[in-house]
Amino acid sequence: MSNRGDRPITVVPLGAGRFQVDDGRSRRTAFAVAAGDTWVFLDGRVFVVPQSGAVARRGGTDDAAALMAPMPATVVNIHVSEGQQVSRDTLLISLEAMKMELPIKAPRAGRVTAIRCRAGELVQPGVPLLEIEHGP
Amino acid sequence: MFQRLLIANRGEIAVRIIRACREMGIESVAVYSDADRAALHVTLADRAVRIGPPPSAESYLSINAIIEAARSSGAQAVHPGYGFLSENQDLASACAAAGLTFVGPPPEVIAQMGSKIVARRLAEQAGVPVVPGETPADQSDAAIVAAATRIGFPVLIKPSEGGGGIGMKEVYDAAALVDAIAQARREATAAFGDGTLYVERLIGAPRHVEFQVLSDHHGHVTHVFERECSIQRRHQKVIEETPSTAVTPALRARMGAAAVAVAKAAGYRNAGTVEFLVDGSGDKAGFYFLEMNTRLQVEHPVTEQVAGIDLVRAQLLVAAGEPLPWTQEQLDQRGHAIEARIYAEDPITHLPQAGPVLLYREPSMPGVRVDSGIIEGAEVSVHYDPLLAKLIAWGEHREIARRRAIVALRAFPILGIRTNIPMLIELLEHPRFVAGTLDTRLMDTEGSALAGKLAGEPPPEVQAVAVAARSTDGQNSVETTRSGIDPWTSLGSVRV
Repeated sequence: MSNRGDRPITVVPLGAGRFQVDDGRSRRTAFAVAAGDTWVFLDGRVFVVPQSGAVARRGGTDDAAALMAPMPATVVNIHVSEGQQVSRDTLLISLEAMKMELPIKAPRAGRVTAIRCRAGELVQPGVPLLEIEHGP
Repeated sequence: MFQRLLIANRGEIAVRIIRACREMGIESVAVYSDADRAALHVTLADRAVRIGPPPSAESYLSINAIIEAARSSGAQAVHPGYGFLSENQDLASACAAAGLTFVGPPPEVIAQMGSKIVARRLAEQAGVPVVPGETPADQSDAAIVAAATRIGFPVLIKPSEGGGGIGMKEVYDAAALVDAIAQARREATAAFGDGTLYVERLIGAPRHVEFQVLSDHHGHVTHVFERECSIQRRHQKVIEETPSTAVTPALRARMGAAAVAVAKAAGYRNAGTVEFLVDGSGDKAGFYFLEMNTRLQVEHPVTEQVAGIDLVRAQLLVAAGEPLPWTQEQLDQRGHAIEARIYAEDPITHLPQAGPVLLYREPSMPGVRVDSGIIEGAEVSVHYDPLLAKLIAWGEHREIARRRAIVALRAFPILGIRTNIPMLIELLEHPRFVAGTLDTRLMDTEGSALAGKLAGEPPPEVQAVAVAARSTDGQNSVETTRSGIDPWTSLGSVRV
């Protein structure tokens, strides 16, 4: 791999969302562009290249992201109330989507300052379901 | 034979049944919710009937809507597929009351096998061993805790009605029990409309091996060998194969006889599956009756490939009153088949995914079959099961099938929603899968190591492809290098 460092990478369109990519080894790839993201399929792996570098890396280490629904889901249960102190990994909200329960847990210790969803509500990804003020 | 058959299901299994109907000259009637108006099964069927809004409870789980659709479309029979109402005796009864043939066992057989207590008693009476467990008559938390203590930890809490791994919780000590009970009860109520829970002893590192059975209305009961379904995550099967690497000819003969004994004792008709837990391997391995699934299984294609039969066709023949199209002596296993289930889920976090399918291209190569319910341009809905497609690879022996499955998955682009394909490839390449030393805990113990392999940086070709896709709208060739002026660093971070 490393000795191919300076080898040109040639990308030749094959039409219908396909490329031939050649960096010394020739392979077919597929791509699709949507909402600014470019999806690339290569050897069974899928990569999403965002348009700008502003998009957070996936992985859910971000506190705000941890308090959002990962996908459209129904709120089954809210286990905490406003003003409550929670510790790390406290179960805050149970969501349900595609027949599975998805627990939303506290990323860190803190105090619940606002709850922004109701039980039974269909919530969308990217919107915080509650707010936590983290202590010192 | 029926002239017209209604398929009370969606997705890949509805498509599978429509194809069998077409081969047999039977007109197919699809049903759909508003979320599935343009779904593949709707466009493929000879006709299609709307049965309600997107939530399953108001569409695919509505017995009234299904029966009314069958009546209005002039269907003579109803195939329930798997999941949804397939193991609901009320649908089978409602079909009978409406003069429709239900493609499956009689309602009383569904009822008795659906009750884990009755099914276990029946297996025991047929001389087949069972795993210790019970459905507490008193379903209070305290009574369930008492039952778990009686049975002995670790235990498995699961809905008394239902299957598919939904609502199943493994509990290793009393402290975790109350939360598990509450969650299992909620999931069971949501999925099956019944929160009754069953508690059983959890057997450490077992294999999940099941036997396909098929019986007709003329007294013939046959089995079509085993399927190994040990590669599971949260009791949801991920990879299945046949033959099982744990099953020797002598063990196969014992288990096959046990499966047939259970089917006979139940008065079983049509296709069903007898599930066993296998403890150890080889001629002397122990096995326990787990449950009987009174329907076609998701993983039926591996049996079809190795036995050279069509199970859906056989189901329809039997339902129409014809004798089984084979005898036990005519059945044989040839080669090896592996099925990989392609789910709309993140391969690392396992979270289900919903969204548009921007690009979907099935691989086509010798020995590979794809059973799918989606097409390019489709929308994967939040309302239903995340199973998109199944890739089945056959080969003269296991290693050929395994390599074929990997090559085919590497040539199966699905873009727009994340799928578990990268995880499936890692699983198929895992040394324990290669060696065939499987147990139902493999994904629990190896899962994070597998996910770690998927978390690496993307290769530079990916960035080159992204640049080409964006800068030229995919119409022109691009040549670039990794060093020097780097045209794609401006893209910033790449999410893998």
